[in-house]
Amino acid sequence: MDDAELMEALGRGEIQALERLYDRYSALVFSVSLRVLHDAQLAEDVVQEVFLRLWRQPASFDPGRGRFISWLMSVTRNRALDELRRVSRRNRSEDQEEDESNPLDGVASADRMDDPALGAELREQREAVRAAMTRLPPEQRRAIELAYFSGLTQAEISDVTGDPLGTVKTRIRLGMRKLRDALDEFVNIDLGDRRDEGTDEP
Amino acid sequence: MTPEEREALLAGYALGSLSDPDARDAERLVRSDERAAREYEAYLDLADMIALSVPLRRADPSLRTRVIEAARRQPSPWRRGPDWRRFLPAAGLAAALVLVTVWAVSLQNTIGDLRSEQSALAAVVEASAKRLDTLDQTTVDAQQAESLGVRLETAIRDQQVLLAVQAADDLHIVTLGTTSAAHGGHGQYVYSPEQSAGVLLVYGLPPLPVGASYKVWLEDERSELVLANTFVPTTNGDATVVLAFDQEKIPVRLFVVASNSDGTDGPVVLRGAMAN
Repeated sequence: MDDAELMEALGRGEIQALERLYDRYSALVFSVSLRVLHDAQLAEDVVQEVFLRLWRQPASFDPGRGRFISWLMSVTRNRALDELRRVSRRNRSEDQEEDESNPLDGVASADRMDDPALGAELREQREAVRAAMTRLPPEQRRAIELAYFSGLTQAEISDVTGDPLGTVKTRIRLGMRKLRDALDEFVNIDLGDRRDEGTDEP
Repeated sequence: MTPEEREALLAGYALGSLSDPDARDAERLVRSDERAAREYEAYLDLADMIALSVPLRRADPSLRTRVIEAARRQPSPWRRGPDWRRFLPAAGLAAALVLVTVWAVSLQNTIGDLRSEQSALAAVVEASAKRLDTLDQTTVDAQQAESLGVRLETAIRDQQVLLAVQAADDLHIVTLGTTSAAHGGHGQYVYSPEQSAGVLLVYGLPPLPVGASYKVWLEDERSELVLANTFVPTTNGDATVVLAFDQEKIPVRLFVVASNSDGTDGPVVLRGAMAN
């Protein structure tokens, strides 16, 4: 069964559909949450929340509006960022010392083998995305990752990196353009005229 | 705006990395330019592919059991049929206010039996609310009673709209699109052109600062925007909002906007297009 069929089955209250979606995507949801939160326990909380939301509100995914994996990643990222902001507020208010321990200690890596449950198509997409990200100039990749995984605004990225705001904006724009060009076979991209290539750095 | 500035705005907006003023500019661009809207949707899709770049890690295997067991304890709402519970808060409020108002009104011996048909109840309450402020209260503060009466009237009217929309033959359901400002929140808009009314159902919207609220804007075919309602969601970010519109100006688009504490509009959180 594909993702849309599994979501339909969720709508009929079939718990087996949730089990199959969990087996297929839990490692990915957990990994994205962990990347945002750097805390395995909090990441597990997000995983639980995301899958229970699928169960409670299957109609919140509309196949007509895009692919399931994009929607799932959007939900996961947003929930993880909400949690990150909540924890950040709490930590600020309690003025806690920063935890120096490695947040990934004790977390099993599944990356060498990748996850067969993801399916060939998604594994191919993952490889393409990772390759495209790796090919980006480090400063462009960092700006995009700070925006996506840390939820920082461009101004905040400028503060973190010490680069001028205009430079941050340009890096994000150019980085996203390169990703777009590298991944256009996987994304329904209709961006019209691409002749205005622009410059590589300000 | 140069092509580079436009591209930077849309890409940054899709990543959720714009400041509030820039996000408002981007939202205006997306709303006013169909091509920009398509570009933005594509960038959104692209942005969510970035998530696929993470190294895969496995959660504790026991998490699977915990998730599935938790799901078993929370039967899928769709299996139970229509979820009338979402309307219970409004019904509960109305019921409680009915009791309070009936009691207040009975003190003055001015209004008799309120256990009449629901359609008559609103008129009775309106009349009683108007009279209450002139009466010498002994056990109920007049201002409070009036306030309760007005709230009751609103609750009853909302309930009547809810019932009418649910029973309408021309019911439409729109799953609302989300922006990066929704932070996982989502919603649906159920409406009936025949009834000139609709119900907005939102879930998981982010909390707002004290004093701020969400605004619901309806846009008609002539691009005229009307503020249809405001609301503050529950602590879970959920809300049920009744909307009424002019039958001569049937809305074609809906926007849920997070307003700032000073009442100015913040970013668009949810939006949807109606096919009338």
